[in-house]
Amino acid sequence: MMKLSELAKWHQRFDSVEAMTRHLQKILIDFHPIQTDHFEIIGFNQSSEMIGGDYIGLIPKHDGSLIISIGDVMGKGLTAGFLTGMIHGALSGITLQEHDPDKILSSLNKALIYDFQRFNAFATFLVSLYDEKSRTLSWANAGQNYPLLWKSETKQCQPLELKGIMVGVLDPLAYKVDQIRLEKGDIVFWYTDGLIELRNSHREQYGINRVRSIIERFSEDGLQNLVMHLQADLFKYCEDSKFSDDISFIALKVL
Amino acid sequence: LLSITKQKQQNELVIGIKGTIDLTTIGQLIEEMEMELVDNSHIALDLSQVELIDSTGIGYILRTVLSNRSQKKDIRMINIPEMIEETFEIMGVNQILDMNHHV
Repeated sequence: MMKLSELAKWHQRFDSVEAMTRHLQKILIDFHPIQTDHFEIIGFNQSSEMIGGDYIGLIPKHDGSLIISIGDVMGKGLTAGFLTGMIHGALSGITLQEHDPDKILSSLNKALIYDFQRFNAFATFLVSLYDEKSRTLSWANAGQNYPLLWKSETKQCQPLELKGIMVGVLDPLAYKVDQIRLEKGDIVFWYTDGLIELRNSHREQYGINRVRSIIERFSEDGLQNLVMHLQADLFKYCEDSKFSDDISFIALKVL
Repeated sequence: LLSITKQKQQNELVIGIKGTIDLTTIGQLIEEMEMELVDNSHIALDLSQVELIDSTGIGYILRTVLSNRSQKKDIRMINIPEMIEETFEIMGVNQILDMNHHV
């Protein structure tokens, strides 16, 4: 039987590892909401473990545009968190030189391929660029679920469809880029698969339709309110038990 | 756990999978595949009874397919439910498998 003093040391060590891991996750997901006179953007990230494989990030550029990233590394826990750290590092370097979403994805794939193959891993990733002056949003997709666009004119959501191969599997890869002009009141919603695959006690999935209906219901109440309702609904759906997968989303509203 | 059945059809072993393929079950499936790959060069994964496959499940299967190709072992997926096919489309799974064939 373990001595009490040994048990105390073990607990102390575990606590510090746990605290450190949680701290790493906080450093990694350095997402701060932004509100200007022209747009507002909010993010949500919750890992199923102390550290996770979902990534959300914002990189403001000197010309006033904003790079918005969302991704999901295969797996969960420490390994996925480590690989997410590699993505964060690579992305920070690449975006110093580059701001076209398709080129960022190609460079990210090139930067990650060697290590991701060693880890037998891959990541889905979506990079968007929002220019608040022209209200244009351009994006390139590496296997992420399609973002949703809620149009203030039609009061309905539509998917921003654009396919692309996930990063970390094959190299070289070229990505397509698409672009739209947003109008005042429009909302763009990016999410990782953990959101729609969240399951309740009957093993039913949360699903994209429930997400769409919440966006359509609360889109005119303010972005903060919409995000709050979605979060509350997620916790209610899984009856306040732990999420089975990492869940992340980003919501942008044009003001 | 996954429910797994095996049936030899001509020179191909068909592995039928029933249940959810995710982090909690993928180990069982990969173990079965590795075991069967010792004696079989052609394996078909029948996904018709798979309810859900998450990104971890897709990743492991994809890696297993790609790493075995170099050893002339062929693994293909058959009877893919529509919802899973859509996920494969978005993630570029089919493109990866096609492109890798031509590498």
